[in-house]
Amino acid sequence: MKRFIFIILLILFLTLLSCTKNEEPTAPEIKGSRVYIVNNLSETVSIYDEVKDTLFEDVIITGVTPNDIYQVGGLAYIVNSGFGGVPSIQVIDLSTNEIIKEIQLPPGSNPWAITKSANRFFVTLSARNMVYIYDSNLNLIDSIKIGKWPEGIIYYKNSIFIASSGLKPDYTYDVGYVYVLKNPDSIPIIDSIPVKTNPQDFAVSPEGEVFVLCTGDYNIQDGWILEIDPESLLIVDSLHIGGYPGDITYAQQRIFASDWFNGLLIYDLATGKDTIIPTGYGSSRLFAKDEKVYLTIFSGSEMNYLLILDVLDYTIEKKVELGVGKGAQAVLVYKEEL
Amino acid sequence: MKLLVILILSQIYWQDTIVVQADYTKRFTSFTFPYNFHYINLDIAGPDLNGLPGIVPLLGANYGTITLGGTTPEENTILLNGIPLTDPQSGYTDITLLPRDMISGIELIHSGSVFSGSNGIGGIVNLLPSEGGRLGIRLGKYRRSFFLSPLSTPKINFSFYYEAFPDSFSYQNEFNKEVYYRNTKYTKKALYWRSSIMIPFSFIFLVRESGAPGPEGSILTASKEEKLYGFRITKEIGKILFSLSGNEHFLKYIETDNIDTHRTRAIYTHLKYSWVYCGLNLDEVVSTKIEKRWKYDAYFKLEKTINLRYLDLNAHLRLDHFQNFNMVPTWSLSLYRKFGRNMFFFVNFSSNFRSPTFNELYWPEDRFAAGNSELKPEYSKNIDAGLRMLLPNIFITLSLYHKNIKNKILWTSDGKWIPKNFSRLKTAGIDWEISWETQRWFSIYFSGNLLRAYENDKPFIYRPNISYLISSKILNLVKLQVSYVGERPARLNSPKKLPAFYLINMNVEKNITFKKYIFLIKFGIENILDCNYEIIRGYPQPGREFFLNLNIKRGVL
Repeated sequence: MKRFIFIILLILFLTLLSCTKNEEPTAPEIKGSRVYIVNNLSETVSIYDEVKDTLFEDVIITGVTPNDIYQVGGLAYIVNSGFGGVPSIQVIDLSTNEIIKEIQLPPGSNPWAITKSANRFFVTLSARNMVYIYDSNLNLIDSIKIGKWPEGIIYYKNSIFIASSGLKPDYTYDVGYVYVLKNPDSIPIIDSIPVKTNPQDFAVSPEGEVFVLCTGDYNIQDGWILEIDPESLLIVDSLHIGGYPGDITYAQQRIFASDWFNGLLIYDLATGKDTIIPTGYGSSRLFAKDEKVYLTIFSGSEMNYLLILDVLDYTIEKKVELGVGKGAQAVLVYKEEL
Repeated sequence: MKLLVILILSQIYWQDTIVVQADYTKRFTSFTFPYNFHYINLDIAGPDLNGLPGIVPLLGANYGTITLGGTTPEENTILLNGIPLTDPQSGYTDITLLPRDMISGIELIHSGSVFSGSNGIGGIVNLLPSEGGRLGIRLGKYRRSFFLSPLSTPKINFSFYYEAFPDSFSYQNEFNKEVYYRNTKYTKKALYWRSSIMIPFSFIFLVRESGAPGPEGSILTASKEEKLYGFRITKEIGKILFSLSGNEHFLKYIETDNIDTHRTRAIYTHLKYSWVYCGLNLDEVVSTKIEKRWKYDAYFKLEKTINLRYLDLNAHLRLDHFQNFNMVPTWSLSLYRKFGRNMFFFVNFSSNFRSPTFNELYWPEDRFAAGNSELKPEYSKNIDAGLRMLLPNIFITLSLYHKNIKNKILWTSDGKWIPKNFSRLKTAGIDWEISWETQRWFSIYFSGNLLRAYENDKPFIYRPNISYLISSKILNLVKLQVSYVGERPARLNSPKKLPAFYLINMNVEKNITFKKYIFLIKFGIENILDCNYEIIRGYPQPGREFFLNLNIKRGVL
């Protein structure tokens, strides 16, 4: 009987030992220039401190399948698409790296991206073919039906530009459109422009140019970049870049487009010269800040990377290891005044 | 001495099954079984499958299975009274295909490749059919079921089962909003036939029509039609034992614009003469996805038991010849000893493996996924050890296991989902069962599992560090079950966790004898706390359910 009691006690002791609470990630204090990397697969945000050359892994736990990050002042907004859970928008205080607010979006709506006009937020809900409009405190104001499977969204010169990819339930594509909401802070006026197949994202230049990236259908139609005049809403130029590019950004009179298989494609608007930087499989999302371009390299099974490139001479200044199987995607650079 | 209800003991006499015949009266047989073995009586343990020794349930919606020791489903073999249930196309056994009334117990053995060949890294699970009742009806908020056994004797059993579930149920999401999880409906019909007259055999036929809901937030609206036939025949001719078993699965998967059909067949033959075994296993698939393919596995095995002075020794050496992977050797070595009448100790070392499935090898490249014909088999080195004690009214078993799996196959997302041999999975755990029947009016069963599962040194998805179950019966009238599942990773390579949860079930039951029949009337509540929980992320499980159950069987109390 004593042996029996001893074994019971041993089991209970082991049980209690295993009940130690797992530690939640703690937000480190990071000042100065830093890069926020949204890990789509591990559903976290890692922060790379550019000043100390240090990566803080999984600092913020996101919602389900995070897809976009967007900065307004000292806050960042993460759009969680919600595949396998509830879609949401999380608000992060960039000074503390803590989530200070989270709102739910409609289940199954697959929110894709977010932008802000002067006073309002606009969120594309791909699976609902809609854009939700929120006030600056993320209270829902209105919703607008937009095209077919809207994805990228951007605010420029008092207009919201929305990339309607044309994705159909059988995974083929209708004609792509760019929808434009003029006067977005009062009663928006909707206009549309037919573009190439599968428009996904935008870049704007300080010179007043809006570039739309058309990825193609991953089959016959391949990638294009179109330039849209934001005033007349006419396509004023086009560039056939091939491949199936997924993201675009603009810096120093150059357009940068990431292609999953081919790497980073660069087009110099001044000279007309194009360059391909082979970055390895999985070139994902881009962000341009000052004279650098930040590119994430996505992998579900191997090491993920953040590449930091010099905009002018295209050298890779830094290659940061982000961890195995993270699924690094959206990226944001925040430069805090010290 | 009053019989303890915790053990069904049994005999192992075939390659592809742990136990063929359950027998309450022979508990000492498995008490000295020199492997990591458990028998779980589901009448005691309850329907939730949480906190059972060594078991990690992985339940979605109209799709789910159980695994042993933190392994993945394809690393386990699942049988129904010796009938193989595993679908060779996916390597997966969907246990939700079976009506719940059909299963009364679970037997399991860790590290079973020397018995099953492939799919033995985790082990082998043998589901034991319910036998003995004549008629049963359950009316629940969600689940409604019915069974009828016009023939139910020790030598022959013939039973029909029916079960249905509604098209949706409500639950509270993480924002505390009540929402509906839809497309959950199913109807299941099953026929089970067992006979031990002349040539012992068992046969099963299952049909299910069901929704196939995607995870929460998915826009997928699909449905499934499934059929499963399975059989097993055994015959002893002189000193030669012969066994033939197999199954055929048919799955029609219907999406809005797409219908896929998959038909698989598996035939397993085994011969045993003295300590020599051999056999041939054939798998075939005809699928709209991977077309028509087949593979074979021929094996030869030697088994020897040696009685030493202080320890006994049992050894297996097995060679499998696979169509694609040449010769795969596996072995196991068990050292064991019985101390007096009440205590038994064993330690078992084994090598185990699993071969890639048809889907992993040949899934055609589409927008989302692609198979990988370069995959290699997984290999593992396992250690199991345990201690069993049997005292008056008390049974204790405590087991340890460690599985070190190389070439682990996982589907990973690199733009598309592709299976790769990229990782190493290490699992280690302690599981236990304690059953104590203090008086006639009170019994308690306590089982649990401490588990550490690491994939490439990161905690492995959905594997809780702790789970346990406490089940108690008071005055033969009230039954209370409390199970707990601890936090577990919700994503690979991430600190994100699914929250821990408690489930409490309770029922009040009463036996009434009328003429030659016993009527068991049961009223109960499952998930009393109305806990919102998920085993697999995105697949909420039903909340509180009231039910009324009536079972009739022949006999006298």
